[in-house]
Amino acid sequence: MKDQETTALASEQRLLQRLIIAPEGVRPALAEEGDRSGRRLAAVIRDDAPLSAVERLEVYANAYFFRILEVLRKDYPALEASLGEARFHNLVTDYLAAHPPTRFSLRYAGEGLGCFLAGHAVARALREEFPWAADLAALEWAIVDAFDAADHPPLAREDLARVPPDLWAALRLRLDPSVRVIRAAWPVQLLREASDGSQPLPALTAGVTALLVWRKDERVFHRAIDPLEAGLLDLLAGGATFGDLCERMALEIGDRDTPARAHALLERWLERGMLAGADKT
Amino acid sequence: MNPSRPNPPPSRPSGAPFLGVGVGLRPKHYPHVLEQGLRGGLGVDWFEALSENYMIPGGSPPRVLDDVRARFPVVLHGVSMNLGSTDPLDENYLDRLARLIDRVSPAWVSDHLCWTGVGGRQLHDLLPLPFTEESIRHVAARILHAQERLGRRMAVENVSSYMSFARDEMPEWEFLAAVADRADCGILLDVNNIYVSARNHGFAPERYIDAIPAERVFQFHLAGHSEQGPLLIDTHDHPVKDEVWALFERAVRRFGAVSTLIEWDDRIPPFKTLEAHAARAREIIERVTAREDESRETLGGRAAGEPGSPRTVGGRGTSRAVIAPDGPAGRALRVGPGAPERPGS
Repeated sequence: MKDQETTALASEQRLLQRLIIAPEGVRPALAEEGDRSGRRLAAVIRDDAPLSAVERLEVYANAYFFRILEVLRKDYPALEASLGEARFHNLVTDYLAAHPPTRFSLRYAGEGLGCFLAGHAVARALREEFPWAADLAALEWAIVDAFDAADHPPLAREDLARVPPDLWAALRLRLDPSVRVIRAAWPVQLLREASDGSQPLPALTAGVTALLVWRKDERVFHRAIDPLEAGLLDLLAGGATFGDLCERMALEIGDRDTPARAHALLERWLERGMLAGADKT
Repeated sequence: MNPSRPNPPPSRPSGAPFLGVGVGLRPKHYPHVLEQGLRGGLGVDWFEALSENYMIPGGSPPRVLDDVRARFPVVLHGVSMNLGSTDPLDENYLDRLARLIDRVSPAWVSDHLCWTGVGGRQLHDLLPLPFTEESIRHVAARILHAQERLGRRMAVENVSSYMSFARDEMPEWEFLAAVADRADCGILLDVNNIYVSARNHGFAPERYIDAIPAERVFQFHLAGHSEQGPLLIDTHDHPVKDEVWALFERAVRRFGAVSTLIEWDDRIPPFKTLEAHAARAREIIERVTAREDESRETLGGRAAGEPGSPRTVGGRGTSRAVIAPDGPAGRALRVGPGAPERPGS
């Protein structure tokens, strides 16, 4: 008895949800359900004058879409500015049809937008017109992600200074949980910088770019970095030792320049608060 | 009322502590709240934090919440427990909420009497349930489970609604009261939501207020709404309307001094506008409860609260059943630092 009752409530909730999230709106979705007149819906939702059941459900359908649109506009300000309001609106409509939210917090509603832009068939036309859009989305999502990444006290310069020279080669440097490295085919940071500064958006020229995102003192920063630094950060993220980093540097820039370059990079990472620890292995 | 009884009933029949008048903690006001809160310069008594905004790994929001909690009582208010859904309760969500509760030691925890998604999806909206015996059984069992998991009694809030179900078997107030009774939980009575739903569905909001069991009311919400065609929409982006203030006064007459929260989530105004709302709510609570205390004194008892200080309104010692938030009755209570005292304890 109870199962049967809960099944009735479940099928009612599924029906209402299908109609609310239908990208083309409640009426066309009802027609697809074989209820063009709305008579079956009216058996669930009261047709109370002055509004019909369909019109009442449309209030929820609009709220669903616009609430998420507002969140995504805040998460992806440069993407919206560069695509334009109407295109961004349609992008969100298509995205939500493919990636309806499943996480408990709206904070995650936009997490799949970069992948959607990069690979979904529905986004193909947009991809052809704006080939950098997926890269920009990846940068903007990394900024969202870094904002509330786990806290970790930064590694202090003095802690590193205390490491005896013979232990350095086996030292593992840990990155702060907020650090993200993105590989882009376009210098999309220029769009975000212009958007943040309310400046006109520049036209982009394709060019492989590595982008670093990190948080320091509760502020999120991003900047383009050279391929060597990006490669070293990848190595660190994979658990490499300082010795491994020096080997990679020696391969790329030669033995002679490696010590000075390694020192400069360490200084820079410490200064940015990008290091969370140094483990002696 | 029995004039020979030594202790009169309190102005606030619910066992939830009276925190005064608070506002929602929103990022826009973080700097102001931290700076002025430190100096004791805020015209609000407590804060309500949206649980989900702080169920994150790190960054500034949890740190701000810790700083606010060090100076003010905090209530955690969730929007995603999905109590009314036919999906299984999200145990991962409850675990994370439990961790946040441990961190914050809130005066109590609340969520909504609604569903927010089914089939693993999230609508991020508060959808009404049909007011049926089936829904009561379903949602009450889930509230009991959540309370068990969180080790404390929670409060559920009535939502604004724009549609109603053909198979409703009772009015909303009977539904809410029955759920609270069956789940042995508190009620967060949103006075604006009552007004909005009353207008949208054509019932008298006063009937709703009058039918809610007083001992279960932990908290009031006050918010602004807007008109959209023939409907009122609970937008939280306007000042509280006069009609809602009037209904609030009626609620204070019926329920006494109940912790009251001004909600503002969109087009958020300067903090002083929220403080002005808080002052108006406080003035109503003080005026109405002072009048009640006077009439009580004429019956031979003495009201326990000191007039003029909303924090002390409310009595100690009563033979009425009180519904305290710090744990389901009859179970070992988990009382963390900063957890409210049970009245009479």
